[in-house]
Amino acid sequence: MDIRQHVGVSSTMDVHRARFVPYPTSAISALAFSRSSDSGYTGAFPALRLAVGRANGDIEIWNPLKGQWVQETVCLGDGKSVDGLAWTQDPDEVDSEGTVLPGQQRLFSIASSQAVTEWDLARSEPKRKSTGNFSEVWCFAAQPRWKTSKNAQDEPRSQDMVAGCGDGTLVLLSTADNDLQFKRFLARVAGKRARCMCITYQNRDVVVAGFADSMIRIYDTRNNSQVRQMSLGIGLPGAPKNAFVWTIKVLPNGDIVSGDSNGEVRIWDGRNHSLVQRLTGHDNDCLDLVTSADGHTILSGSIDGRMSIYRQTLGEGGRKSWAKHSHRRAHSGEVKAMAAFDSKNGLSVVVSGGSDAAPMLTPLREHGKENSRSLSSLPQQPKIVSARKARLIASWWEKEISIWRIARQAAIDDVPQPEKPRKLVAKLSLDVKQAIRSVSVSADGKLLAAVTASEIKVFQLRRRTDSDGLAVRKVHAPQEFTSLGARLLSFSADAKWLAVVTPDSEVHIARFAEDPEQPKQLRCLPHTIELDRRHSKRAPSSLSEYDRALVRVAFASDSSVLVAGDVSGYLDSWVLEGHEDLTATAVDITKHDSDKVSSNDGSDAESDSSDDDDDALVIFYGQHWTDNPAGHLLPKLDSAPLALTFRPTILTAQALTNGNPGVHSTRHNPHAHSHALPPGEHRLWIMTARHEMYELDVLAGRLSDWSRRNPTAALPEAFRQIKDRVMDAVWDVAGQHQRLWLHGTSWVFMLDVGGDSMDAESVALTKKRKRKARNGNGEERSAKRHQLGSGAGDRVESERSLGPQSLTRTENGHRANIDLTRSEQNADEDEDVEVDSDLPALQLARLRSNGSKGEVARRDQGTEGQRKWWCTFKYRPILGMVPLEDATIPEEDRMLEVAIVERPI
Amino acid sequence: MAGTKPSRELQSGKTTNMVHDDGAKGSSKKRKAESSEVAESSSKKARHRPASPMVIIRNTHGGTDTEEPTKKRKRQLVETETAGEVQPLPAASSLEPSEVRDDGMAMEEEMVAAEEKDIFQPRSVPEEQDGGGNFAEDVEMARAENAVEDEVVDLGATQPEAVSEAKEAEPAAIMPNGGDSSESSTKPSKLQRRQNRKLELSKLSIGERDVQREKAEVDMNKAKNREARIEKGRIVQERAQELAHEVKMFKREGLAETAIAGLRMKEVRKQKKQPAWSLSNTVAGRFIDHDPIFAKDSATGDAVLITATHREILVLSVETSLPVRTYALRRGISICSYSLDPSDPESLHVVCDNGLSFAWRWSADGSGPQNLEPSDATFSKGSSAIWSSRSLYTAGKRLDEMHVVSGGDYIIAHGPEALVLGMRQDTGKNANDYVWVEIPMSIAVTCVDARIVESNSTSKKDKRLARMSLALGKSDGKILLYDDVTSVFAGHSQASLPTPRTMHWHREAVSAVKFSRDGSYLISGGKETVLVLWQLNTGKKQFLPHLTSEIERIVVSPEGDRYAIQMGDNSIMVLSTSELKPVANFAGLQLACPVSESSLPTPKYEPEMPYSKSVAAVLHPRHANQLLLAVPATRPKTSTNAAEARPFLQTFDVWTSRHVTRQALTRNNVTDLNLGPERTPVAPPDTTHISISDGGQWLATVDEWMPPASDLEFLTTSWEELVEERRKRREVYLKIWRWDEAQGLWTLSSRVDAPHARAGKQMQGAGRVLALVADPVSPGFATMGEDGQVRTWKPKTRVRNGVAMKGEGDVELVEWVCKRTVELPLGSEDGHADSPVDTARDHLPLKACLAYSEDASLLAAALISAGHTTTLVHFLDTSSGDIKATKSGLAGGEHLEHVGFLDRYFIAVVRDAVHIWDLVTDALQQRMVLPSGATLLAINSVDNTFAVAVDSRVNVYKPAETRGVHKDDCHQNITAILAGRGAKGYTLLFDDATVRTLALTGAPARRALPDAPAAPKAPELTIESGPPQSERSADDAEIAEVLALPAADTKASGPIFDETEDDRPVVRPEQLASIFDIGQSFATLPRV
Repeated sequence: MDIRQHVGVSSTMDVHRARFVPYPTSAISALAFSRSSDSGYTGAFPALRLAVGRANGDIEIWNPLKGQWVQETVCLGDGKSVDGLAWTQDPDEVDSEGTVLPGQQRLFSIASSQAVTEWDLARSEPKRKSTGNFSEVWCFAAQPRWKTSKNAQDEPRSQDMVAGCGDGTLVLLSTADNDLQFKRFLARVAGKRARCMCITYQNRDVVVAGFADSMIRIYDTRNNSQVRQMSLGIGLPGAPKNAFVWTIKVLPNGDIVSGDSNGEVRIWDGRNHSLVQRLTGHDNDCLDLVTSADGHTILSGSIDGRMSIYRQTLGEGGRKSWAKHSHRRAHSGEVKAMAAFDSKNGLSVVVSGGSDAAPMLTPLREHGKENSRSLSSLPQQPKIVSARKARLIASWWEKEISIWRIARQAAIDDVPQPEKPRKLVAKLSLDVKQAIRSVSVSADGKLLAAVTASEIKVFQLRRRTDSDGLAVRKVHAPQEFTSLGARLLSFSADAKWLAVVTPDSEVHIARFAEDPEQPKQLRCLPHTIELDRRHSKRAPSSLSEYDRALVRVAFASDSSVLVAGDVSGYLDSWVLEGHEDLTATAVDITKHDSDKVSSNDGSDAESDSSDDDDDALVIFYGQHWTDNPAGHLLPKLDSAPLALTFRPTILTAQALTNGNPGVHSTRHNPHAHSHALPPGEHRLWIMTARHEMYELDVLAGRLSDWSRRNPTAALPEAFRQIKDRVMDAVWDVAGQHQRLWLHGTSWVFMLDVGGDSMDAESVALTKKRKRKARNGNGEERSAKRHQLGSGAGDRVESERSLGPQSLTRTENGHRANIDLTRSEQNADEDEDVEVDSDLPALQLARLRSNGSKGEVARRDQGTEGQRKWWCTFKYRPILGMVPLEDATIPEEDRMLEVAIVERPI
Repeated sequence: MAGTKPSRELQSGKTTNMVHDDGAKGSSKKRKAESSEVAESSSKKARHRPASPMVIIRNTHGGTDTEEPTKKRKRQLVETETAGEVQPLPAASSLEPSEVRDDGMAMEEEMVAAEEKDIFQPRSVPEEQDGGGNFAEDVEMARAENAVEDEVVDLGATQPEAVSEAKEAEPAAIMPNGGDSSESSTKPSKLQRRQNRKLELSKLSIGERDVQREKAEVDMNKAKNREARIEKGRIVQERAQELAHEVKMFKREGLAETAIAGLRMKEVRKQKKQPAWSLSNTVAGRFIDHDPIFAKDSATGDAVLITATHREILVLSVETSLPVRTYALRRGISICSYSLDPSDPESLHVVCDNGLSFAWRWSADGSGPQNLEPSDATFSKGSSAIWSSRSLYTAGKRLDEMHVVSGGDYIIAHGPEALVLGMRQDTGKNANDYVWVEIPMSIAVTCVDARIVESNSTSKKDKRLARMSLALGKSDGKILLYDDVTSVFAGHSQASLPTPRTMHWHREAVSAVKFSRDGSYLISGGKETVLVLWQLNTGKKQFLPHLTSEIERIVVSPEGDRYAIQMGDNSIMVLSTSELKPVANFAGLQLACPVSESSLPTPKYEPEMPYSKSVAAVLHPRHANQLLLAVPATRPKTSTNAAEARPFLQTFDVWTSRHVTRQALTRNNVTDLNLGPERTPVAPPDTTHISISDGGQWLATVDEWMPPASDLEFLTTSWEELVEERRKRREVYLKIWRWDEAQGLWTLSSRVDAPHARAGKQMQGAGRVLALVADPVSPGFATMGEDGQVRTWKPKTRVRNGVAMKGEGDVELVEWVCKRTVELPLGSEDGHADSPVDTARDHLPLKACLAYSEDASLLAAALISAGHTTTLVHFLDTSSGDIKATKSGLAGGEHLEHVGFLDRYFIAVVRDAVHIWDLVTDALQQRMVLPSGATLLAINSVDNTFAVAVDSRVNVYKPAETRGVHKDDCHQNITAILAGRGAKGYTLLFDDATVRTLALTGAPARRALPDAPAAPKAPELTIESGPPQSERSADDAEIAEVLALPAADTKASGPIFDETEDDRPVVRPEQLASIFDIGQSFATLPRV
């Protein structure tokens, strides 16, 4: 399908609505939070991440960000379904200075094999596997964390893991010493049906495992003895005789909760192992369940997509009893996996996933009062790139790249024999071991680079003369470069530079040029360089390696500045010094460049590049990459950048300098090179995972003037209500206007960034906020204000609410209205005040957005009649939005043309 | 003997009480009088005893006939009782005037006292009564006879008393008619001679008195130059002849008195045996939408169920499924709510729609005096409105129902938009300090149940250890269960409401939800006809599916061993909790009541034709007490085709007020999913006509069905097209059923698809059948369709190889065939009748009239269509099928409504008149003017009368007489009037699903019970506290006033039946004096 249409903002954007990209989504098969609650931690909390395992082996790392939920990284798997995920945390360490270094959080998975895999989150790759003399692992669990006891002599111990296997074997694995090793067998249950279906720790010593022979067995790991076994009894009539114990969990008080193939949830006493209660929650198999941190709530999910919630209540005579509260069909398919994070004040949410591929957030503490929310099943980083001048769109998954050419509007409309609106012009199946992690294509469509975790491949694309297809030729690059592998890459706008981010988050740059011998062919210059990252002092983190992983990289529009941002929000930037001098040697390597600040001694890079790379200065055609002199001035962002893009600059008549005037090689300086910084402003527009908006003047190392006038608060209310995070941004700078088109998986948003986008109210609002920020921890609080919920959806509207949200109380003739919607934990007074003071302004902003539900448009601004912003939700789900260009139209008439790739399910 | 006469005992017990109280009551008790009575009686009084404001008080309702009790009477009663013999009945009422003269004052007082009681008089129904007996009538009769007996004794007459006892029916019933009449003819005539006519009038039974007094007065008022014949009924009791039906019909033979009224006031009396028409008591009726109450009869120890129709409170025995006791209210007042007094479970508090509240001791000695008292019992279990002077709380939204929990600790009320919870505060002694919480509901709450859970934990400091669980049924089918709602009463900052448990099984609104007694189950029901039992601890559900109709109410008995389920087919079923087996069933008449104005949206498309649906009902020709009628599956709540379609046949015994059978006549989907894919209700076919053959062997029904408009909308662009498309797809079936004695069911014998074609030669679709009549002589039916054809249908023995086929039980198999088709010529006067263009819409027949002559030799047929101004009546010879005659003058220029044959007369009811055409002389015999309104006609050849009902009024005529023989106003819209073959009298169906019979009886003719003025709209439920004790007496008085709503209002303002004759009672000024002379404040107009 290719629906070509004009967007509502007439004559501003031409949209190709593309639905032909058959991007596959994969079911969710496992979910795990890095920790289940805030309790039990002293000092700073370890980082909270959600690992989502999918049936194709991918593991996505999501950052809840106090309810904003952004997919940070993706670990590509090998196609085997991730059947289980577990996080551990190494014991905290105290360094010589007495500061506590939090123990590193580690992620493990099992995948229908005999191995337990540990993942290197920083590299997004498997780190190590532990296999042993046991059959395939069906389930595993991590030991509860060591709790510091009063006995000071007790050495903090690491967490063990226990794995249940298909042949009834239970295996203990040790994660001590940053390793994963077989410890011993815990038990071997004989019998044909003695498959261990689920397993969990009751406490650090006792393991509870559910089997396929409708048994629950309890083992003591200290002496390898079976403590007790409980039977579910036979299955329901019509069901197999043996019920499967699909899932088993332990409540904080030690009681055991099991979910079985009869659809029942049973609660067992934790001490005497007797059945306390059986609850009929589902009509089908109950596949997974989670419990709240206080142990008064259970949620279970079944094969028919329903999620049931159970609550413990005071029954007859003060006896506590459980009762099913309600159920809801949360997923269109089954509910395969569930995970809960339940803190007292902040996030309190259950994540569930299944065959419909989208993680579903269900509020836990505020259940019934807040909406559920579905996260996107599509990747946060668009898997669509375009060569705008060549009108190519490339999409990739697994080991394949598909390239389409989009016909020009004129060619479709006007020509007597219209072209097909789109055509698949090439399909590349790479001979690589791992799946493709990223692809970049140059704007002119001549170069295409694809990377896997261990390989970088660059191709030259040329239009065939005999057909519409593309001829693909591999471009040879240095072996040491291609074998680096990469997680990210980007061509510069002029297609001369390719920046790649290796799995170790190093940045390498390769230079492409025309082959002098075969002018039609492009080649990679034989030398590539590594750009050093700044090593700023970072706060200790439980994911210290992972925090340095680069997630976005961007070239400036004149290709002279490169910026990369990492998970924790740090930015690294480099500039290209000098002017291109095609007469100079292609690659000129100097050593001991005095200007270069040698600071890579601390580098952890065990790079295979030769030693001389470390301190050598490589000059390509008179140009060389160096650190941004103002790089240290760039602030740390509040969170990982999601949209990182330079504002295109209208190239002013550049001094036609052929080469670098005044730079001459001398004897002492045989490799003379220019230190001229690129001219003009290089304004980097950033939107972070918290949807904070910045624009940095990179070379000046400060916020741009526009950004000072237009802080995040100036964004329209309609934008701030959007929950899905931004995926990418497309600039539209033709003519007089400067517009930025942002999109997420469900929305497209236009923001006019040419002028100031806000009005007096917003400014006042911002100033107020700033003042507050100065007064105290205002930023934090205002962020918190938006996060009063439990991290799932918004408050349920009163019309749809199960329970009432307000009531009228009359006592002795006095009437009072009481709002029931406030959360149980009373927000402190200050925040209330703040909400009140902000409310009028926000309401004003809301009033201004006189839009319907689907499309919200701001009133026309002044005499220009141009909208400051515009928003639509009519495209969904959006896999990507990429710009295209019609070179036949004169530039001044050219309007922005994009292809919005949707993936209808 | 005692066992055989409980009703007698009850009766006598009551009268005995009255004797004891006599003196005190007469003076001290509050009095109520019907103003109309006052007016009438005083008008007579004015002539005779102007000084003595004698009040003749008529019984309001409840099956008793007012007789003036005397002291002697009571004494005699005791004798009667002990004697227990069958005694001939004198018709002695004419003797009473002397009594009146003798001790007028005492009598007056007594009458007042009696009157007070009679307004709310319980009817005791003996359980032993044989099922066929019409208890209502029995009791009436018994009472009437009692009175008669008294009078007889007073006179010192020596004849044995006639025992009126229904129970002693056998001997009484055997008593030959002749004996009765002979006695009645001789004795009264002697007595009467001594009497002043006017005084007689006052002694006459109410119904007659009214009629006749009116006439007499008119006569006196304006009878200077006119003679009027006044018929007077005499009270002569006569046993009805219907022994086979086990019902004692009392026939009253009255003396017809012809008085020549004039200036001379000379009375000429001519004794003529002529029965008097009387309207029986109301039977059947629809249970009000209120939880029935389980109670225990303290006398018998039997479990009973207390419920109510609009007019009656019924005490139903669970053991026997029979009513034990009933208690009727005066017409015009409807019962809104009732509840047991928590302190005295034998006392029932009743609230009426006019805001009136009183208590009734329903238990064994229910015949005792009824305390009329303001309900100051503020807290009563179950749902009940609390009436008092002080408002406790005024809700902002409408509230429909209320529950009082835990002796008044909590009050819960709910309406569609709000839920109001009240909790009594512990502060001080004032029990009426409540904290109220009003919770707006976005989805309407349809039912509520609350349960107090006592928690044992003593650790909590909180005094209020009880938690209140609350179950809410919602209109979207969800049931919300709050474990503890007491937290909402907390102060401002602490108030919270936990998220409820959600139980969602019902597709549509939950009609009823209740906790089981132990709180471990929740029982719910709704439109799905499934009783759902929610096991709260395990989350399991149990079902009792396929009930016959949707569940409207569920009540759990106090012991928890029974559930009472009130269903949409106007029945209450009692189930045992353990086996879920029915224990008792009380089924009422399932007549579809008109849909009350509801908030539900009206359907998009109105019915095809703006005609009102006529009731499809017929009386069984051999069992005149059996009413067969087409009923909907469940009480329609919306006015849609699906809701109002009548796929079922109910057989109902109108004498015993009992349901007999019910069976399906068409396809139906009561217990199936009855929603289409687009959630539009699936409509079953609607049975439009029912007729039964003479022998009761064959039943013919016509049902029709059209696809819903929403299914065909896509085909059409305009409303007209849509109507046409629907008509093309109309299905009409004529079904003929044979009575299967073995199974007690009607079994389908033949089905005729599309018995008639569509009008205007349209090929597609079946035409409507506009009329269906049964051959009065032989098995056979005649139909008339919109195509203008009359078809006669006859059975034909099925023959195979020349041998008649026999079915099961050696029954000859027959098939029904169309014997004859006669195409009626269309009226040509209009000129354009033949033009095909206009036939499409204008001439679509609206209605047809079809009637057999009594010997079935002639069939009258007329087709009424909108386009014709003149209706032709065709007379068909049934043997040849020829049109013997065609008359246009019968209904000349007027809209013909009904036709019928009676003897040699042909009766045509047109819009505002009745035409009686003598077929022999071929001349219009009479034309009697009717008031305008919807008319109904019934012809009874046994009586040689016909009855015409117009709205709420009914007129009985004899064709030979120029005036109607009887007229009555029922103050309730009549939806059908039926005459049984071979039985006298008429059966009237009213739109509140009640039935009354109008017949010649020996019992005192009862006029329509005095009706209160139209009851004010049910007041919004406000919760009010009881009045302080000091205010009590004032309240009493107030109530008394309210109760004494004068019927004069109705009299004066309501339209009088026969407006052509100005015979309205005129209250002259001097009479007014006597009205107001009664002297008590309650006699004044009520402050409504």
